[in-house]
Amino acid sequence: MARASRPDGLGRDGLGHLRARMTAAALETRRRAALPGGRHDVVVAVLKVALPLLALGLLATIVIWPLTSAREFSFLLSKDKVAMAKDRLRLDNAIYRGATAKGQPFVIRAGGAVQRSSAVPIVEMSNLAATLQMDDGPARVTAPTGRYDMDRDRLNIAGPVRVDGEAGYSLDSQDVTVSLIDRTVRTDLPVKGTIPLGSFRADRLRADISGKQLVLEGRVHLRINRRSAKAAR
Amino acid sequence: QTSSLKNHDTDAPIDFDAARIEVRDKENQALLSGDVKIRQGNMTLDADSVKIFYSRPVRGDPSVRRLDAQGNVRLVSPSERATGRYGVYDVTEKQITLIGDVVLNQGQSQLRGQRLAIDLDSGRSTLDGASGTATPGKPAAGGRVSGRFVVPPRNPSK
Repeated sequence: MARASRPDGLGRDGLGHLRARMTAAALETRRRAALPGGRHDVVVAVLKVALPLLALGLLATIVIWPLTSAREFSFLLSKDKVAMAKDRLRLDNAIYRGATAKGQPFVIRAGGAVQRSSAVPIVEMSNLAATLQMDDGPARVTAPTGRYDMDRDRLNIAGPVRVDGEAGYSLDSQDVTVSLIDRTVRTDLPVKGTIPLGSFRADRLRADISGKQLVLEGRVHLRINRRSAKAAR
Repeated sequence: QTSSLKNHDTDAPIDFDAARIEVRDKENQALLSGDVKIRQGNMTLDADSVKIFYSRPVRGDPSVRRLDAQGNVRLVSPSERATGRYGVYDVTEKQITLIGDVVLNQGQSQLRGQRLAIDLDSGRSTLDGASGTATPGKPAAGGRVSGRFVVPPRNPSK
């Protein structure tokens, strides 16, 4: 392939010739740039002053800043802003142990127990079970919710109560009072429930926890629907 | 005339209404007082106070054995009405006994005596004069039974 001569006279060895001429020109520019008073000198002069200043400034901030910022970061733990837990005492799977006047122990277990404030010795409980040692064996009082009055060792239960003892019985009323000290279950509000003998409704109820003695008063209705066992003949 | 209480189902549920019921589980008794009304099936038994005796098998539910009624006892069934001072409904023996100034009204007829026994199986009711001394079934001497029988008019429809 014939080498076409190029108008600028570059040949294969032209490249090298070109580079030479280029570097000569570049050299030319660098030499020109190195002349005193050029752009580079200005940059260096500026930096000569700026860099130390920057260093000093940095040193100053490092030294002074923590002092100033310390004041800014300190804070006062203000009582009212912190999230206050409104219950004074919250327990899960709480267990209360006590003993009655006669010294018979009782234990109250509750899924959850909350005491609103220390001034009020009332603990609100959920699915509670109180077990008492009676002369003729343990008696158990269970209820989905209830309030335990620590001072008087009493349970105030609104709603269903199940009493399992010698003669188990269950009742449902607005406000049932279970006294652990004198082992009685009492309500003065209409109540319905079941006893071994059958299902009943009444205006008032008094019973001892073991269910040995149970008094229903006020428009009492009792339904005995046990098939009378033939064996009893 | 046999009583409608014939084959009265003594196993049917018994409903009690009273002003006060006291259950004494130790003695397997329940005391009902204050205008007591007992209903079982088509029979009602009212009295001032009633005592329920029940038996409690070791397992399972208690069953009623006997009801003792006291004071203005009144038995009402579709076929008769009887009153007396005391009444005993023996559930297991299926028998109702009224004692003391018993007045039995069956249909138009009215009988007075001291002791009325109604057998709930056969529906047979026997009234005898002596109070308390007569053994069931054997009329006691001396007691007087007075009665006014009114023969119901024979009407062909019956």
